[in-house]
Amino acid sequence: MTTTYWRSLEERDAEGARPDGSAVEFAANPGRRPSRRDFLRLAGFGAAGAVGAGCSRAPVRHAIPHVAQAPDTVPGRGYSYATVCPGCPAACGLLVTSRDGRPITIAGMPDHPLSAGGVCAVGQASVLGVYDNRRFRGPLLGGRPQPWDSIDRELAARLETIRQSGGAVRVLTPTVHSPTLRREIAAFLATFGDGAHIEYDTVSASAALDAHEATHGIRALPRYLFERADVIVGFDADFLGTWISPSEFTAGWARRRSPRPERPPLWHAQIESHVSVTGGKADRRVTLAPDDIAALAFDVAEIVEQGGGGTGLAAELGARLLAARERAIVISGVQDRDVQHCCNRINIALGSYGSTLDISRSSRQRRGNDAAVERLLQEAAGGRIAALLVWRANPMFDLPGADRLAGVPLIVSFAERPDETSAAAGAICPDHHALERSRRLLDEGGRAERQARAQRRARHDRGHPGHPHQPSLPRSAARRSAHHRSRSAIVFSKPKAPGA
Amino acid sequence: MNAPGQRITTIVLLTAIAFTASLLVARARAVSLPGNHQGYEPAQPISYSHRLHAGDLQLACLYCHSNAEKGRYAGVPSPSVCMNCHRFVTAPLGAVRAEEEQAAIAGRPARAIVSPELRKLYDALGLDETLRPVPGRTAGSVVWTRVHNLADYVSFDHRAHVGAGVTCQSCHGPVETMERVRQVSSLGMGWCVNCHRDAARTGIEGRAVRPSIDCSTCHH
Repeated sequence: MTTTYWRSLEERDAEGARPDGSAVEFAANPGRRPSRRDFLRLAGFGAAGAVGAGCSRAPVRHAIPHVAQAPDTVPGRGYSYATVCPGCPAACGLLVTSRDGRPITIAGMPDHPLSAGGVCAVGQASVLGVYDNRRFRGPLLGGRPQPWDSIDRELAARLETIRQSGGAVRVLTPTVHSPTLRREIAAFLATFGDGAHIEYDTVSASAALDAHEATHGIRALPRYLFERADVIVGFDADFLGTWISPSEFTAGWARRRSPRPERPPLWHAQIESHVSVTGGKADRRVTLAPDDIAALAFDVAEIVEQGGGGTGLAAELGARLLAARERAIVISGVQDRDVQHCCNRINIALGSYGSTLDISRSSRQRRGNDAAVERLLQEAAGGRIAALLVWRANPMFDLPGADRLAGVPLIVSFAERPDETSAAAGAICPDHHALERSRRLLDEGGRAERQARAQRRARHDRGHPGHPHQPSLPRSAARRSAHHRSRSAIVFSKPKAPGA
Repeated sequence: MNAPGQRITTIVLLTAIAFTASLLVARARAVSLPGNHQGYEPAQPISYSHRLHAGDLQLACLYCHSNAEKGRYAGVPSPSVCMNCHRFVTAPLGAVRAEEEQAAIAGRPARAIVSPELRKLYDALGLDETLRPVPGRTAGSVVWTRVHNLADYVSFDHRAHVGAGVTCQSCHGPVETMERVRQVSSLGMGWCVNCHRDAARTGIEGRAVRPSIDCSTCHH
């Protein structure tokens, strides 16, 4: 069964209901009123049921010990492990408390270089997904449960046919910041004649990426270093609440906000068309209609490039920015390439790149490309896609025009729980929740740690030529330690900043 | 109806009522409030005898339930703890001796004797009679049935009690005499609070203790 959601009042009215919608939205008159006899009957059954339920024994509960208890763990005690937040591609550092192998609490990782102990509401809530009753219990093929090996065989056979015939295969994901997963996807797609990995962000930053491609020749987001700024001008960029990496930006902004004698006080202006946390915290909040914001950004860009002049609000912002020069930062959350281009022009004219903005070590927190997504929809509409693999994205719900994807002959969804896209998918191979297999989310830092360890071992081996690479543990001990590692003791090493 | 007939009827009726009442009084002891599982004595997958291990062989409780002083739960020992001894002890001594005698008489090598209950443990661990892993079998655990269950809104910590010197028997009863473990105490709130009050007055083994009877001590 698929659920249809109205996305506009027109859609609701188009369903053939009465214009006021009352006939479909609310139940009609519930019929005759329950009589006194009905009431007594129900009350009697209720009382009898309560007595019956109360008399029975509680359900039998079991106690299942580990096969071999790891020597340094105590069942029932919470152990913390460090990982990266699965909530969004901002990749904040987390400290997850896990009890008996189950994650129960999420806290920010205080030593994390990006988020500095912060974690937003989305991140806090992500642990609840582990215990979602609606999660798929196993794979489904054509809506029917199948064992993993049979669905593996079926999909491998169908993909092999596509491989032979040279059909197009597309993998649709949100921004993937894990280099390991990127490599895995690329290696899989390389086996096809026509394979492409398309990153699709529900809340896209594609306009900012496009603008940087135009001004800097690299399709990437800069790193925003708010702690270095003396003047912040935000055009509809709710960077303390929802924009790109709010925990990281809040940490930087808060560090700068604390008064310090050697630096002038931070001046923060927020020009926005709605109410946001960031606007509430700004020194100067101006409400403007969205198209007026675009016009204002253009005016400010002109003023800054000409070194002064102008009138009104644009002149005020221009003067502040020109006074701060490279210690200013101008950002915009508007999903419009021209507005983003204006911001880049201002930042270039002020010399902010290299100071408050770092494009040389660019951020990987958003990589989605709206043009590529639009191309995908066109290809799907033209029947040119043989297989579409969707991981952690739900375009059928949040991408306008995504119903064109429904015609793709083979859609494989890796959704954890039923959603609009998995409803359209022929095969559903549910993925684990990210907190259940967090090793893959460890970013560059994890790889650097492994490399450093390998180098140390290599040096050690050179010093002791007879020393074997692997210390010869008894097999059971090696297995036990491997099991233990995978459960809770994920070694955390400070990851480098994205782009490092 | 005449008088003697009436008297007989009355006597029969009174006897019946007395008999029913005596039955009800005997049964009344077994009636408990919902949620009280005093006397719960479920069958276990392996009929492990606490009387043999804790009573006759005098194993310390903490040898197997070693988490009782380290964690919230006393814990059920993992099969690897059982195997510390049962790697060598596969059957009662008498059965092993009898097989050795039989083998000596028949002039053949003695067979490995494995008791049916220990067979279940070895099966769970994927081991054969000679305690070598069976190829293709993975080691599993034993699914025991919990005897002492508390409601979810009660938080009990073994550490505090074992650390204060409360003996295991004061809550769990004479486990070392039980073939199959039975819930001896009611584990109800009144029972908990009584003990906390008494201990505050008398101390535990001569030492003064300050057990809290605050709500949030257990309900948090």
